[in-house]
Amino acid sequence: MATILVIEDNPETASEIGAELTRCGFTVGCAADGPGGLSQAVAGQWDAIVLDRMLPGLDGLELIRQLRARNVTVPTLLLSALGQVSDRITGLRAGADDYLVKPFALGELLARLEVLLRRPTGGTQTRLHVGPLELDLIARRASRGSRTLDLLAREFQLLEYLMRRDGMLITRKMLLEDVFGYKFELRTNLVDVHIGRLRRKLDAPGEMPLLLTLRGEGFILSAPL
Amino acid sequence: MRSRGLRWGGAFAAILGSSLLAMFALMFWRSSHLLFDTLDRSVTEQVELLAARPPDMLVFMISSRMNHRPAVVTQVGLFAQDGDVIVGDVAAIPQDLDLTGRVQAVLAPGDRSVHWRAAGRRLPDGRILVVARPADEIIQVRADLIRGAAIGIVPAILLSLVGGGLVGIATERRLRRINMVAERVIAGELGERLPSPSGGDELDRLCAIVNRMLERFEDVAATLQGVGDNIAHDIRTPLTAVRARLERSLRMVGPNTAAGVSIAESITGIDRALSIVSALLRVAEIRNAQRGKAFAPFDLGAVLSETAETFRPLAEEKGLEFRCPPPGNATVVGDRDVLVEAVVNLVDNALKFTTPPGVVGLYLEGTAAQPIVRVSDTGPGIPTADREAVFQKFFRTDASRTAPGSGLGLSLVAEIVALHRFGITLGDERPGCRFELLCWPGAGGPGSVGSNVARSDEAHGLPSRI
Repeated sequence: MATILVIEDNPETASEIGAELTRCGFTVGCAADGPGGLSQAVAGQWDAIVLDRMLPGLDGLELIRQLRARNVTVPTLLLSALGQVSDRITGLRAGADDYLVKPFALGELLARLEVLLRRPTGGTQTRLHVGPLELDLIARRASRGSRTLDLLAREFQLLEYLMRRDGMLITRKMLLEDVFGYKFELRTNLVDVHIGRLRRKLDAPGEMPLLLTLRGEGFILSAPL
Repeated sequence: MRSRGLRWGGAFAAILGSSLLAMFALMFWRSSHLLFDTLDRSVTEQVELLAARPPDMLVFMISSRMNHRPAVVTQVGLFAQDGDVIVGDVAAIPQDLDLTGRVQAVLAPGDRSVHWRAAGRRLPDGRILVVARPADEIIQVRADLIRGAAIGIVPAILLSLVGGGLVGIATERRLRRINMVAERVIAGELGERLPSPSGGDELDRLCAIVNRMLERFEDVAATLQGVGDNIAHDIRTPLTAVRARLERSLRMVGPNTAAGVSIAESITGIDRALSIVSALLRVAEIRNAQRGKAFAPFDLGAVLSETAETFRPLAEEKGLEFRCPPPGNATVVGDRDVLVEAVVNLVDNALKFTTPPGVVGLYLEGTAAQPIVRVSDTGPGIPTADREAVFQKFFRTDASRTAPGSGLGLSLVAEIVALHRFGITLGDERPGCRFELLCWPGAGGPGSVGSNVARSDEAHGLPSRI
């Protein structure tokens, strides 16, 4: 099972994250400040690092920079109480792979970690396949088996995003940020409406459902077993 | 702007020229007065002297004076009652000479180009005595004075025109530089400083003082920013831990137990509180953003198309009609992400307050140089009395109190508009309301958005569609 290093100075947050990750079967290491986190990150074999933006001794951004300078390419998820768009951009520029604003749902953290650990597939492919689904990125055509799917542009983008992360839990927040490009908070059922429409086109009555909703968590697109 | 130099030059020349002229006039008046006075006094003395002599000695005195002192410049003439000359070197009684003994300016009777100062007097025996002195030298001196003044004053005025103009232009240029920097500071670039070379004039010293002030402001702004960040951190970090604990407890007891329902409600409550903190911080972030920092040209039409594409399904799902005729192109300069946020907020707001069967519209209007984004709905509308207030934080109309939301959406839109110096108007759609984003710098007037908010739709009419 994957090993995760959690660098977080707030003991409560650290223990909650640690407990949840352990419950989900991860092996967890902890550090409570910047320098300690850096030495653990360099010394150990980690599959991913979750770290706070503001750490005593060494800032989270600087820690990532130093890791990258030492050619440590382990995926990092930056947690921050600064929810500002500019901070997110600086975080990602410093080399963080994802950025999560406090407070977050533990489910959100887990979903993003899963995505980070598995990394999206089919980077350079022009055709994506998930079970009976096929997506032709050049011709902008989607089909399920022999049935052509008549998708709107947004639905096409959604499907591509989900197919590149098949089998992973995708949260509403991830879709809002990555597909719709909305880095700001939006309290509407926007994502659900679009997913609902996509699902109606994807999964015709009588067909095996491919796009599943996990109540309160997010969505999973996966091939039937 | 160039006329400033001319004005300065003109003012300089006017001051210098008038003072030079006044000085010259005084000198001219004083010196000619002095010269004439001396001359006139000698003429008067001669007349008095001769008139006081016994009448029978006059002829002798005048003729001997002529014989013995031929070099003397004073001319004397004695005339009979009828004006015939008896003796002397004055050929005739000058015209216009009254015979009261007063000294007057006359022309010489023989040669009318010669100016005299002369006095005439009728003696008790009826004969007429005339004494005259040529005044040509004095007149010559006066002409020389005027010529000299002209040679001196005219170039001085011209020089002061040029010099004043140059000083004016140089000052103007400095002021313009200062203005430019001040504009940038107002725009939020607190790191800007006025040009102030050391050891300069008063203006330079003033600039140095303003610079010290700006340094202070920058410090304060940085401190405030830090305080805001810390508050965000201090509120969010403990709540994150609480939320995580609740979430884990929920998993332990299961969502379908009584405790689970109550925990889920607590999580929703925390999320609502935190979303308000986030929205407040976002409003503050936009307010403190540096204008122009993330600005780039982008197509407003594309933003509208994408927004329509995203929100049309939402409207349809709610049983509303979503109208967005294909917008043309309109390039504006701004922070695209942030302006998208403003448009999305307005559209989201319109969708939220409209009930089926209603219509929500998103239009690109105005001209290419002055594009307008119009968001209209057929919802309950906003009472005229509330139109200023809707842009304030936490304001909610009575009709909207039950709808979800933080009450910060429109104040966020107002901040975004202010950041770009765009304008926003709120009008009546009868029924419903209509927001218009006037997407060009300066559209909101020099003040904040407030000045433009309540403008009625009749005031500017409906511009043609792009």
